[in-house]
Amino acid sequence: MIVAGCDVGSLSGEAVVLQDDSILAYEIMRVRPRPELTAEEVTARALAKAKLSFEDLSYCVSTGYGREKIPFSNSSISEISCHGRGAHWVNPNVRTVIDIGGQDCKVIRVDKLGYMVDFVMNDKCAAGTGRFLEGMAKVLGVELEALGPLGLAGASPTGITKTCTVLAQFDVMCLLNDGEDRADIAAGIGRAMAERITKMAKRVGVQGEVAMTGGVAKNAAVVSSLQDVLGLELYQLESVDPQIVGALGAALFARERCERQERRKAS
Amino acid sequence: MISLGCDVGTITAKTVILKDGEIVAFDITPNEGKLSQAVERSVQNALSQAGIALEDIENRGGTGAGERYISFPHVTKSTISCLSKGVNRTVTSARTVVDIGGLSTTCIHINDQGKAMEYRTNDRCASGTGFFLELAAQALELKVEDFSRVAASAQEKVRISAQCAVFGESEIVSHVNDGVDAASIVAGISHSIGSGLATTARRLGVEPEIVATGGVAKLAPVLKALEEDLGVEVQTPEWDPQLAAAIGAALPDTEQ
Repeated sequence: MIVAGCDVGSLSGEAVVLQDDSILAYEIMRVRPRPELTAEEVTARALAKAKLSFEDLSYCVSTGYGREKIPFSNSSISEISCHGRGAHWVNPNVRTVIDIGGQDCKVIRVDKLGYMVDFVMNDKCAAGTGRFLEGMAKVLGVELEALGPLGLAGASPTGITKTCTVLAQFDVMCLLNDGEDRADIAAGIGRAMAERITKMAKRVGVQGEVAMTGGVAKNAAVVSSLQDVLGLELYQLESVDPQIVGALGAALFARERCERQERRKAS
Repeated sequence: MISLGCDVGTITAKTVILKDGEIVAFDITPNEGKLSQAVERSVQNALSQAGIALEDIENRGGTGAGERYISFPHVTKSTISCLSKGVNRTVTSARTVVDIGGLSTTCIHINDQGKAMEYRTNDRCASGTGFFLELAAQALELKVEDFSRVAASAQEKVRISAQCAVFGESEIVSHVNDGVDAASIVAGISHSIGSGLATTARRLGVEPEIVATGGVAKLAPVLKALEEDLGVEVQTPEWDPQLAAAIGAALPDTEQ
């Protein structure tokens, strides 16, 4: 059985093609102006990688903020459930998932089967989201991907006092004006993110193995600071790109729903 | 007597030179590159307009979030006192000052002497600030200065639901992608900023006359939204409203 999950977020779109219990192919791309365009292109690209086409799909679940606008999906599920489910598939001991996307951050608790039981979420303010890191990278004049490695090289993280993304940019501008070391500033940015996320995590409670998903999980400075501030080791999703976990979860739900449909047909 | 005031804001550096209380020169320079250089440029521009050397000015005041980047000796003054005094100098009947700066919004109650009695400032979140307007203008491929003209032709106003400046920008981008016309979007943005400001002002208590300062005071649609929401007339000073704090900084009797 071949199914797909498609996650269209605010900054990027991801698709995962799943056959039985293994990932055949996946794709990540920057969003197009409309969620349906992103969904179609990213899914088509992932299918092409697996030498498949839309006709080969038995079922497709869409997720992410644009999930209801995807014409080819059979159903849609919230990205909160999908991230929980996806991370739990990678490591069944995972009970807490910290997902930081482009425009939101969430801490999700899942049960032993990977179903969501509780969560906290911030989607009202850009602090603690991918947009925060994007803004900071811009002021520092580095690519987003370079921010993590730069931060790891910083020996003494600079204090970033402002929570607001825009105000923190001004903070960083002043630090640069004062001749502060750029690596230290990047480390300070990671630390600021970690403190913000930790506050949220404490509200919902941290249990079991903790996995980090979403694009920000690729920022080594944030991951390292988060481990320091939370005081625990995060489970590293080495076998799966953390950015595709939402789409992966959607694909797992697709498989489940497809199987249910077939059982119904058979009976 | 000649005095100089410099207000180093988050988006621009402003300098005013007063002679016997009258503005003889002023400058507004955007902060590009090093803040200290923006300050330097702004002060030099004002000095050359006035045809005077810095050494010949004894009274120098500095204020604003980037005040520490003023390199020459000066007296440091609080932004609240500077705004209050600056407004009081020309509008003695003003009792409420509403200021929208680059990264903050402030409402102040002042007395007839231009003393700040009570104030509320939001400097923790960029919601409804000048920076948000800059982001919005970029998303619309317009200049902030064009907003008044563009909004004038608006038939309706789009709802901007995000409080956060960053998310507000994304919301504007989706409206643009959905083919909504710029006029309706600008009208929506002005309404969102004006009513946000009205909420802050109402919390403090609105006492007429109300004077708006800061860059946003130059935007007629924002002022109109503020007036409609408060149900009171909002005035603007006769000079450039962005200069309020710099004027206050230049006045020798402004509190430190």
